[in-house]
Amino acid sequence: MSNKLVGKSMLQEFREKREQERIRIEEKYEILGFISSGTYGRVYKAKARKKENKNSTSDEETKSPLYAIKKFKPDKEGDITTYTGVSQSACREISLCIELKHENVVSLKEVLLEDNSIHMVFDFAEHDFLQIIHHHSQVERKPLPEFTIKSFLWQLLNGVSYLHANWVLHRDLKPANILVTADGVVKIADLGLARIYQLPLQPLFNGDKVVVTIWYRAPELLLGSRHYTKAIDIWAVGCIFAELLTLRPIFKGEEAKMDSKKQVPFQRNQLVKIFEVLGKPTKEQWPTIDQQPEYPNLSSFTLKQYSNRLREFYQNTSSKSDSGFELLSKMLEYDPVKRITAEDALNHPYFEEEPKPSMDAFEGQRSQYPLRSVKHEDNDMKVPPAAPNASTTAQGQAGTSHGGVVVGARGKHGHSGKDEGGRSSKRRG
Amino acid sequence: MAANFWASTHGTHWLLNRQQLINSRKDDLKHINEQELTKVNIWFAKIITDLGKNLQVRQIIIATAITYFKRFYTKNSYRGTEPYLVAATCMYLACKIEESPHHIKTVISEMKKLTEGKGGFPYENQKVAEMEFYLMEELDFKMIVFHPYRALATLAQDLGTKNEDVQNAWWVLNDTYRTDMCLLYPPHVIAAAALYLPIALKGENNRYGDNNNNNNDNDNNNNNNNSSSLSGGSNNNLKGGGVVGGGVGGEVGGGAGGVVTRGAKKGQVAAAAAAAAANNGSNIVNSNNNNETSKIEDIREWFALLNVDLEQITDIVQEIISLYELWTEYNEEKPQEILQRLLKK
Repeated sequence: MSNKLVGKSMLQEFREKREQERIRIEEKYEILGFISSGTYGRVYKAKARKKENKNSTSDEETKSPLYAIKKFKPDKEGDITTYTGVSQSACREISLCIELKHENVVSLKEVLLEDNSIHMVFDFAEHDFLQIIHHHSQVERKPLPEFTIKSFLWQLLNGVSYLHANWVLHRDLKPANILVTADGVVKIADLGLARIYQLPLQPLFNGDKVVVTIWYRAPELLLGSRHYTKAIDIWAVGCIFAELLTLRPIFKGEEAKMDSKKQVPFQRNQLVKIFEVLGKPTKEQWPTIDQQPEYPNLSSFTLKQYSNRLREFYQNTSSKSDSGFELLSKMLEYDPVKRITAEDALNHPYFEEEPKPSMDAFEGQRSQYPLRSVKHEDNDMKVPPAAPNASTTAQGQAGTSHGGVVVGARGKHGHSGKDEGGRSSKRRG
Repeated sequence: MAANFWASTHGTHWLLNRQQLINSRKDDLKHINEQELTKVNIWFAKIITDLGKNLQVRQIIIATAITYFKRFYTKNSYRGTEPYLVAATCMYLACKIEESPHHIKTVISEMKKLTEGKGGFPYENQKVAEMEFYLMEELDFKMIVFHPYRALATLAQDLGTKNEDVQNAWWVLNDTYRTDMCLLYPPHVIAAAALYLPIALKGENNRYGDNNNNNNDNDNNNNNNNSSSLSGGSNNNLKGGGVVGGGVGGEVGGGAGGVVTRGAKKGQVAAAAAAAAANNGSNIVNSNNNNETSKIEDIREWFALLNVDLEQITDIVQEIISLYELWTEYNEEKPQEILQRLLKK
């Protein structure tokens, strides 16, 4: 058939035509340095190049917008690189980010193809929750101001509410994925695990296993539920709220690793951590708990008497607001059906109280937090570093240490690796 | 976005007008005529459908893959590209975007089986993966596609439509992917038209069955030979792997006042459907207050409430009819011969 005969040259022609039209990333952006890496690839900090006026003053220079360019590694299989196309997580992130437009969701400026890789260009954000929490716990050694916490939480819920209204589940909310701009605006990032959730024409669990980093994983997922709902994201927001208050993860469990049969293990330790704060869930609290696949495992939790100590937990935080406690307990509700929605949470009395939340969590003072560390020795996007390892991993802009389903399923533990990376790179910086 | 079609990239970026579509085809039309190009388009929609069926993917994924293919060819000509490679890549990407990924090798091997004896599929991983890049770029990375199936379900539920009618409408929707409709109309409008058509046809049948209130004021003579029902054609379609033989279009003859354009045989069925949709032929439908009639009125009322563009509904109904007409003279050898001519350098 004719297309067979001329096939090769046609694709070549097409390729050449497109390559000519394509604008090189270098022409458009000046790479300022390397921010972070992960299984998905690497993230660079970049600045838009001025198009014509080269006499711009240095004052203008500083104003030119900053970007984070996420370069995906090609999906390869085996030692000899058989290229298998764009990864599922890159596909998800691109297709969703391009549809989403919201003040509190990271904004995708464009996608560029170069060098056989996908490059996603995001607006740059100077900070993230993990870095800010870390700064308060290790450097300032004092809690975040209530105004900042409340503004962060409100904006986070505002973004989550937008995602949910558009049938998007984030599925991996955690401090490292919540960015904050220098102007105090929260940006939800890393939609590599996000999915459109619609009336279940088909169950949502096909394809990937359990998602959400274990410390922020909702009890129904820990009990083997395979039905993802918006409530899973809200649980994570509740955990993040608690972490903003105390500067440490509220349920810091040890993840049980996948065994050799690749069976999803029962996350006993994580449940213990939750029970220690919230008590063991009862059938009254959660009427359908006995329908959870791992329910029989619960009968073995008899060694200790667990009681709900969330109020005690809250009293030890910096917040004195009763309605803040009320909101937290509604987000950490065991029964996913009863758990508060993002929409309702936004209208919670906690946000009516002084100090009222603002879209500028730093209240016009810009942030006092250190700038995201950038390494300048790795500016060349073309050349991958010789041996990337955990110690060179800095905190991710849009990125985290797990680029997708595979790692997510394996359940990368908390963000401990990143945490260290962030610290070590700061030392170096 | 996902909750609001008009805020989605499909609604803001990927609805074209007919002129844009015509312009995008200029290149190919230098080598073959318009009807031939339509047949090539039908051919590739069928290839993608068959590939999807062999991979056992959901209809939505087939619909997304075909939409990608059609979008790609609004920016490229068949002549400058390798359509079989594009088709397989569309399926590969659609599976991922619709969250039912298939391994690249599986897609390729199914495609090889499918094209055996029809020219084959001389591509391996590397080529499909490379093509995927270009495909995403040509789609402007806007890959979430809305389909009329959900709107059909909602509409049918609102109207309490009988399962049989919904099923027929579903088949009509599948058939619309052989046309350019997914590039031109919002999915809920396509759904409305697809649901309207079978019900209107039945209304027509009832009227002729009744035989004594033939007060149609369309001034053309109506031939009384619309005994076929769409479901006949569509069932056929289902059994016959996608081609309606002697479907509606073939059997309805005659002409009705200026509703059906494009020089196609003017079916009174189409006329009835379209005219009623345009709300200017209220007495076309059975004046007996039977269920079918009330449904037609329900739909019209619903259209009015939703502010659906009635002209678009008319256009869609016409296009479906034209498609079925074309199908009567369609066979598999023809498009392959046309394609060979088209791709020859």
